[in-house]
Amino acid sequence: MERALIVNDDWLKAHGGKTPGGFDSLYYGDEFCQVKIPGLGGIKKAARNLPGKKIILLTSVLTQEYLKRTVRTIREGFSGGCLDEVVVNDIGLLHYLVNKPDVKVAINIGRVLVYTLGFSLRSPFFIKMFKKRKIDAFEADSLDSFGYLRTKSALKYNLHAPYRYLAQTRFCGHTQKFNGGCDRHCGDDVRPVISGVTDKMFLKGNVYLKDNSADIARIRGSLPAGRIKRLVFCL
Amino acid sequence: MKIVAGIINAAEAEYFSARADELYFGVPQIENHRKWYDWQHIRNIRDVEKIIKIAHKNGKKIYLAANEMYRPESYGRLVKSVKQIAGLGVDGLIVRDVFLLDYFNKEGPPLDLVLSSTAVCFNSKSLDFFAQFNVSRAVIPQHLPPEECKHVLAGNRRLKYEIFYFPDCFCPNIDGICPYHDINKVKNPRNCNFSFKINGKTCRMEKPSGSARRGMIYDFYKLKVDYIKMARDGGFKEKKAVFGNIKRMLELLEGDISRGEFVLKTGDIM
Repeated sequence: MERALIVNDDWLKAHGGKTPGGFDSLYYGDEFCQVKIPGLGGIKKAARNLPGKKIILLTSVLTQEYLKRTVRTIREGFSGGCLDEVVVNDIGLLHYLVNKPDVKVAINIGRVLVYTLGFSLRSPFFIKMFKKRKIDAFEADSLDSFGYLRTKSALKYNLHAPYRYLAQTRFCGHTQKFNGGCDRHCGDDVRPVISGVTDKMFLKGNVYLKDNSADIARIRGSLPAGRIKRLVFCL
Repeated sequence: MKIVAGIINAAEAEYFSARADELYFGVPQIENHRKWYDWQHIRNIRDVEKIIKIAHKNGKKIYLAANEMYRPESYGRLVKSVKQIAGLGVDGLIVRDVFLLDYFNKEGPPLDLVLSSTAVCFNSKSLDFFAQFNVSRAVIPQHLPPEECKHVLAGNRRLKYEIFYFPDCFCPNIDGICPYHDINKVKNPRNCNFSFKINGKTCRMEKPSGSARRGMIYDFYKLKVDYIKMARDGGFKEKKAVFGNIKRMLELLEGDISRGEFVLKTGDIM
């Protein structure tokens, strides 16, 4: 089973540009914050500095400006031979890539998009889309997210640990704006949250997470062998 | 800018159909984005028929909220319920589930399909995706402010657009992709209102200030957004007051007021 590590520019900078051993690939970017999605330069630099690691672009819900940037990065990365897999969390980006047969990046449906589309992922519309575009990999992090997908299929899952997604905001409490003049004040640390709503809750930048260690063993035990393609870690 | 009013009974239907431009409602048999608020649903099919007649008597359209994600095993029942209410004359659906969008676009009956803000549509390609299902209108997500929305709106004026009345309705997190909303499986709709601690410091999930939200309404008005929605929440007296505030805002906006003046003059609203 493959092992992937989620990194972004802040993380790489904080760790001297190096990643720990034991990971086959890097999910480079961010599932929840478009500001942290790298451009082509970042991807090329990561590929150069971290040889032997497959670079997978990790993307989030996108506003218009960042959709354009991300599309450019994917197109140029793909045509330049340094990018062949993308995690998509925006329905607009999915729609774009599905309708661009010349950009043959492998598409993984990200866990936010899995949650956005829910059980409609099993609808004839999406079954047809996934077949046409050969989309067979889905990011998941909980029993709920596994439940949305077809139970009897050849779909592969990339299982995220140790956190499941809870909520994300685009409103920055520091600047009191939506993405305006982002200075990355929120940082990249995972901070424990003591909440009366749920336990083992964390805040990372603009996203709330929950420890999913208890779910992981159940998920792995409930699926046939070979269905989990990759374990994806956030350190 | 037209006003869409959420209603929960015949008395509200009478009152708001005489004053608002459009109405919407929900029913318990079709789960909608008020699953924690049973009392906001029109419970009886005879009352559904009544409120539709009231709306139409006043020349107003009325829409049914069907804006949750549904389990495949419930699709048959949902389609049957929607068709029953369509047979009573409802004008359209507020929807996000792609199965329902695809079904009603292809199979009918012919209904106006309004894309819920919970569909998380933040850019023009997302709109293109949902346009495949012939949606006639999109409710703009609360977390997509006017300055990030203008190019999206300019690029697709075939659709009509709607915003929420933000002083009354603003989620701290992106609505529609919020498992936190029901994480503890208890009927508590206000998880995001609870404070929590980080490093010993008490924190809350933040939202834009009252003046910022009123400013957003001003900016969306200038972008020629078509509708503003008053949610179903609140008692009748409270909703009359909210409606009055919306009317006052629109009257000020129609009078060519500056942004600063508008925010100042509406300062008594939150």
